[in-house]
Amino acid sequence: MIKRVKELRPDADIASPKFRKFLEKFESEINRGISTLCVLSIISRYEEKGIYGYKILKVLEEETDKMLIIEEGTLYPLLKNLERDGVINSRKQTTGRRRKYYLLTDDGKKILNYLTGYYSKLTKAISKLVDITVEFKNNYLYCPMCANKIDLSTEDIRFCSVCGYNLEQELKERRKE
Amino acid sequence: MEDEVEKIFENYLKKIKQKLPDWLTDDKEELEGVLGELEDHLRNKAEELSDIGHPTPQSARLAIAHLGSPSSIAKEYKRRGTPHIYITKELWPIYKKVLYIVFPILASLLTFSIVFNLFTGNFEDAANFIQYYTAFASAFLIITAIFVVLSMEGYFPEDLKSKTEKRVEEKERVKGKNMGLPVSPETGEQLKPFVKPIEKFIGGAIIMVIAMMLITQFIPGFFSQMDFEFRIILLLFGVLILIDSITTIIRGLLGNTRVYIHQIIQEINIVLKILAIPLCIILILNPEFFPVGYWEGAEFIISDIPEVLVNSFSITMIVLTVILIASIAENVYEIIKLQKYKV
Repeated sequence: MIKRVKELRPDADIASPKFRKFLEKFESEINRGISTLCVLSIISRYEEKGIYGYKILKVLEEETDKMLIIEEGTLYPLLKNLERDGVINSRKQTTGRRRKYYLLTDDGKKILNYLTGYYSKLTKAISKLVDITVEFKNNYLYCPMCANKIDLSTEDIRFCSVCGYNLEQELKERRKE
Repeated sequence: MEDEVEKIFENYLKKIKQKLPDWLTDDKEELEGVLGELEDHLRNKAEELSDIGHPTPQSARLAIAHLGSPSSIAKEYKRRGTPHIYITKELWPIYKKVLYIVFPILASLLTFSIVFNLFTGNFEDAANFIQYYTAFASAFLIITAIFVVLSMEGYFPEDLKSKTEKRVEEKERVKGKNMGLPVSPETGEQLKPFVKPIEKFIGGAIIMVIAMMLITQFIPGFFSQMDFEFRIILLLFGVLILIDSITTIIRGLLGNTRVYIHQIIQEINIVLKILAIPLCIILILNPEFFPVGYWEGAEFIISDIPEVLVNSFSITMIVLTVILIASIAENVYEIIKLQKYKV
């Protein structure tokens, strides 16, 4: 986010190395986890054919209006680690360029649901503190116990698949609404 | 121009390859995949940055600048594992395991050295505790330094195993699952069978034959030529080995069930080894007990050990005793390991 430092006014706060260093460190800490969540989210959209590294960066740039940018050199090690953890798998393109397409594994889909749910609930929870408004879409339910994101339109559910919490009460309330 | 672009990419990828950690470059397929997708990325980026729709030398160099230096890329690949006091959490269990194995062996060696020095009257050497502390500290520092470097290089436990080892391990895990063995509470991985019954039966049978030979001493004209004291020691060794062979066969019969009995058997083995130590020390202190055998024409003669061989026999016996003591550590490790199988 903090870019083109040389073009900034010399008396701006950001010109102070101490100030800038703190902000850069803070941004990097926040971005690390969010980047993984966004990468998984983008991969999940390409369920059939999969998506290759360069395209992931392009989609991320477009979807976040260049707000969240993963450094090119860090994307591939990140994908490799996710693959090693069994969250994603890859298949090589057999013709033409040496390209690798990434897809979410079944475990990866569950992990993404949980991470999305957790991140959404966390953002809503801190919304008052940072003075923003967060609204959830109606077709999802977030497990009150563990924050797993549950798609109400596709799943025949009674219990949360992650923590086993009985969701009957929440489902009844949702039906009343 | 195309050749120049190819050369730029080729040189850059070559430099990355040189900087990548060994765990990645050792696996040719994996390395090919990593370099392949980096190359694909560079071509895409260079095309995007080019004015003419395909990569030019200038856009190729720009694409490389965007991707980063070979060192920074390699650094990202090495950034694996969860930091945990300089050694990653992933390598921590192996680090502890190595210390658990090395320290008892070292302690056994040093204890033996103290006892030997006491028996041979070298009291000054026996009392030199600084050298013992130095040995422990050196071992600790060397092992720790190795694991810190492995952590910095991004090694995971599976990178320290060969492909064949990984395949065998996977097979064993499937076997463990089919047997209904539990998953490890620490790693969540399926535990492998801890006993191979056939190995135990064959091993136990061989040990039993040796034990029976030492106990009965039935080979005519062989044992009868030895000193009485040496034959008594052989007999005692025979009894200890016989018990060991019986417990080995029992382990085979039990298979991968009744973990607590396997643990008791390991404890019995420790007792047997401790009982064997005094017998070894008697032989070290009395090398003249050892017989030597040789053919004289058609006759096999057994006689007392010649003076010139006394030292070699003593040293061999010392080495065997050290191995015996060190193997106690293995039994202790087995007992701890078996604890995981108790559901």
